[in-house]
This record gives sequence, structure tokens and C-alpha cells, in this order.
Amino acid sequence: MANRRLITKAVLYLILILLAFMMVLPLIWMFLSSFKTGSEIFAQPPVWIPETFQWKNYLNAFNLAPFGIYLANSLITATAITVIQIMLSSMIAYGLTQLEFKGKAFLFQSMLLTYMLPAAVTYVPSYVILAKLGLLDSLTGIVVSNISSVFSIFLLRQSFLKVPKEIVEAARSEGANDWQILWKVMCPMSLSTIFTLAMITFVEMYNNYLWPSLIVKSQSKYLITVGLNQFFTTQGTFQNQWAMIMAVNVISVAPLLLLFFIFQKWFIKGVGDSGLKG
Amino acid sequence: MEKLVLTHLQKIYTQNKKTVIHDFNLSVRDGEFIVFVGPSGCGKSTLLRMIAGLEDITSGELFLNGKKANRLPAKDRNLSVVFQNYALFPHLSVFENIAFGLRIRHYPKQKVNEAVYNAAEMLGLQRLLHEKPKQLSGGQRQRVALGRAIVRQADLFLMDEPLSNLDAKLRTQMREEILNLHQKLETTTIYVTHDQVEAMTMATRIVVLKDGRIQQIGTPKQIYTAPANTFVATFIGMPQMNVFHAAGSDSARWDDFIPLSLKKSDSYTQGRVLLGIRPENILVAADGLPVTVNYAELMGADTYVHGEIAGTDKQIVIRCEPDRDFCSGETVYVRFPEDKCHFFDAESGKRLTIEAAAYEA
Repeated sequence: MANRRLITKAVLYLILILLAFMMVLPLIWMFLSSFKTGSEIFAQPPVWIPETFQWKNYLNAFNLAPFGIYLANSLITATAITVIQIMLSSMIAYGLTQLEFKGKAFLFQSMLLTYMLPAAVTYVPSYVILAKLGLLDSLTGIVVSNISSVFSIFLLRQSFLKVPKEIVEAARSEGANDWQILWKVMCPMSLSTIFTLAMITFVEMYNNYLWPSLIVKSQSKYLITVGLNQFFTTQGTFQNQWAMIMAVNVISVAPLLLLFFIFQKWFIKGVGDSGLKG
Repeated sequence: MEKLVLTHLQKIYTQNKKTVIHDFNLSVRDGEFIVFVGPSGCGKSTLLRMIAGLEDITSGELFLNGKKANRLPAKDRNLSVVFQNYALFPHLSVFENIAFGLRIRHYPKQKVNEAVYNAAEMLGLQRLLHEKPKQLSGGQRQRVALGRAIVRQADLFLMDEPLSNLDAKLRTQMREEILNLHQKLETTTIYVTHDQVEAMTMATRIVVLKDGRIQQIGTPKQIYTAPANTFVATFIGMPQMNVFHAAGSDSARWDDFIPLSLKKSDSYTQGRVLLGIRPENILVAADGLPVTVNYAELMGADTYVHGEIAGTDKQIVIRCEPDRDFCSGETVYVRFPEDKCHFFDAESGKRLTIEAAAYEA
């Protein structure tokens, strides 16, 4: 019986390892390829470890396009959006969970309804609004057009609902006003959800391509996603370019991986806390 | 000076139009320890929350320190609430939990430290100041909640069943600690409980509530020795007071089975009067009213004898010295001292000031 259980477990682990390997394989291939020559990348049979590590691929890539600026633009906009979005969503979630006002249910339902709309439907009106505000082709425009998120509001609302009523009442009777309750009680008590949300938002905004590509025209405002695509289209996808493309990809993925490793514990806890599937 | 005055206070929940507090009137003097006691759902916690500003007042007036405070937000009432489940902030250390109210009011750091250390010393929490609430036991958590309440020198302490989550031994210990704190700080306290022992032992005055209405306000002694109605009579006291209804219709007399008779001068006929007597006031004697013993409970300091008056279905509980043994089915004879009998109107349940005399006399 014990043997059988052991075998089942072993098979299960084998499948999981295989799946995990399949997931991580492209990343490993990308990382190793960034140090290869063009011919090594396309060699048959495949070459895994380059003969000599081509560190210059990274330098060459940076010489071909201002990836440093793209990266900085992406990091700045994604960070700004994440911070502002979470602050604003927290305030709305607080209002939806702690304040009593007429039309509260209607307001929340309307918000959820907008979530059902495909993002592309809002592109034209959003574009017009941004144009009227004079925020086209600017990082501010990218930030402003992304600071509200129904998903963030919903997730934080669910998390705030879990804060016991007595805790809020205790804070209130200790003299705290709504603003203090939000930042000193609700948010610290929903920290794992906030971390998770911050991760999801950051990754989503960092990877955002279509919308920024519509509103940004000048190269100095490109995000890394737009810049990468531009790099493909202007430089072509010849064999000798691939090593540099891989190098740029490694650089663009690095912040996300770093973020995940730092906040891994919170992320997993947050996913568990929110009752969402990982 | 009156610390808190409640006049004609009423609470109606708008959703189900249910009135949970009816015409509540009370004045609380500075330094008093008032206990609201009553069964579950009697509105005592709602009342406390109305005083705290956590629940709206439908009508009536609430005065704090002589000023009308009906619409004063909870944060501006300068009172501390201790909740049944402690309501500690789980993300803050014991120190920060106690200091919360002071920090919110932007007290200088030194003053915060001083006040928190004083409170911690008073409650024996010095060694736990850096722990998080989840690392503490129930008793320790309740102490932290008390610490948070006392550190701010609030005008009023409101305690909502603060001991009901603790085990019996710890409850007795914490009861003493709360009383000691009250004696030291002399802060006016309103304490909600369903536990009559807490009410009797802690209160300066008790407010007995039922279905959102005041049944009686009085000192523990007044409540016990002169209950205002049958509800108070049976709610306070363990085991509860024996109350005997008349045997039948208006003309029936309880002196058919209890040898006591109302004095001739009283206008009440016995059929309209209920007779109450506390178990400890019943005397077991050589002769008198025969009682068939059903069972006896030895409680340690005394024995509760449960039986019924022979030849009737009237249940009776007698509290006796523990040195005598009682057997099931045995007949014992009891007497009701006239001065220990309570009389209540059979219809309204209200206390009657009438006298009775032994039937034989």
C-alpha cells in the first residue's frame, strides 16, 4: 500500500517537474541565446551552451536602440500606475465597504458592468479624452489613462469586507477618522492582497502594448514593449539580429522576475487570501 | 455631576421597522459603574453602541458631559470601547495597540511612551509590549484591550461583554482586575453583560433590560431584594426565584397549597397575586408544606433540592446547607418566612407591596 502511494507520488512529481520544465524552457533558451552568435541560435542539432559567451550582444543591442530609455519609461509608468491605482482603488473600496450612502449598490454594479466591456471598446473615447486633455504622446497620458481599475477596486473591496467590523469600530472609537482608518487599519490588514494586486498591476502595465502604442508616437516616450516591436520591424529579423533580440528580452523580463522573487511570499499568500486560483 | 444622560432614547431599525430600544431614560453620575444586564437580544449592546456613536439614535436625546451628543461622531466622543472579541489590531504590536488612540491624536512621543508603559505596568503587560496579538492568550488580549481603553483617560469606558470569551477562572480574575482599575481610575463605566454574577458583583447600579425596555434600575441589593417584576425576580438569582401562580381561575387560591394568606385589609385577592420566594429563603422544617424531592445537586457550598409541592404539579427549588443528604422521592417539609415572600400582580407581573401572614395565624 505504502509502495503504491510512493509510486503515485513519484509519477505525480515527474509530471509536475516535466510541466515546470516546459514552462521555464523558453526562458532558459532565451537567456542562453542572448550569449550566442546568430548561427549558434539556429544550429542543428541545437547548441545549448554557447562556445564563447557573447557579452557584446547586450552592448550592441543598446547601441541599436535606446532600450535604457524604453526600460525607464516602462518602469516609471508601471510604478506610477500601480501606486496611484492602488491608492485610488483603496479609497473607493473603503467607501463601498465602510460608508453608507444612497445608490451604493448601484454604483458598485455599474463599476462591475464596465468591467464586462472589452478594453478595445474604450480605446476611441479614451483616445479622444486624452487628446482633449493634451496628454497624447506623453507618459502622463499613459499613467492617467490607466489609474482606474475595476479589478483593483473589486479585489480590494473583497479584502476590506474581510476586516472585522469591530476592528473598524474600535479604531473609530479610539478617535480615528475615515482617512486614518483606511491607511492605518484597512490597508495594513489587507497587505497581502495589496502586494498581490501591486504585482499583477505592475506586470500588466509593464507588459501593456496595444494602448501605449496607440497614444505614444515619439521614440523618447516608447515603453519597452513598443520599443521591442519597433526594434523588430526596423531592424528586421535576420539571423544575426536574434542574439541581440534575446539580450533585450532578457533585460526587459529581468525586472519582473526580480519583483516576483522579492514578493513571492506575499504573492502566494495574497492569491490564497483572496480565494482566487493561482 | 451627570456624566451621561439618556432621555426617551429609541432605536428603530429602518430595514425591518423593528423597535429594539423603547423610551430609555437613564442618568449616569461621574464615577459610577453601570451594568446593563439582560438576556440575548434585549438591546443592551445596541444601547451601548448608540452611546458609543456606532449606531444612530432614532429619537430621544443623549447628553455627554451636559452637552447634546446625538450626532457627535464616535471619534469625537472621547470614550473607549472594549469589545467582546477584543478587536485588537492584528498588524500592530501590543505597544502600538495600546498607543493607537494617542498616536491618532498626535501626542508627543515621550507622552505616548510614558502613558503606554504606565498602562502596561498597571495590567502586567510590560513583557509583552513587543508581541503581536496572535501570540497572546485570551486573558492577555483582553488586558491589551483594557490597556487601550485606559491609556487615553477617556470620559467613559464602554465594555461590551468583555469577559464572555474567557474561561470561568480567568473571568473571575479579570472581573477583579476591572474592578480594581475602576477603583483606581474612577472612570465612569458602562458594562454590558448577560452574566448576572458580573452584574451583581461589579455594578454600582444595574439596569435590567428585556425586549428593549428597562425593567428596573437599582443597586445590586435593591435588584435582588426588591425585584420590580417577575422578570427581574427570575432573571437575577441563581437558582432563580420560585414563583407560584394561583392554582386556577380568579377565585382559586394559592393558599390551597401554600399556607400563606394575604392580610384581610389588602384589596388583592389571592387569585390575582403571584408569590415569589428565593430558594435560599425557604426553610426546611419538621412540619409545614410537604415537598417531594425529585433530585438534589450538591454545589459544594450548598445543595439545590429540586422537587414539587406534594399533591400538585408546582415545581420548587430549595437551597440548603450541604451537610444534609436528600433522596429522590423523599418528602421534606418546608416553610416560607412571611417577610421573605415577594408578591407580584398576576397580569402585569409588577411587584406588589402587600403583606401576607401565615395561614394558620
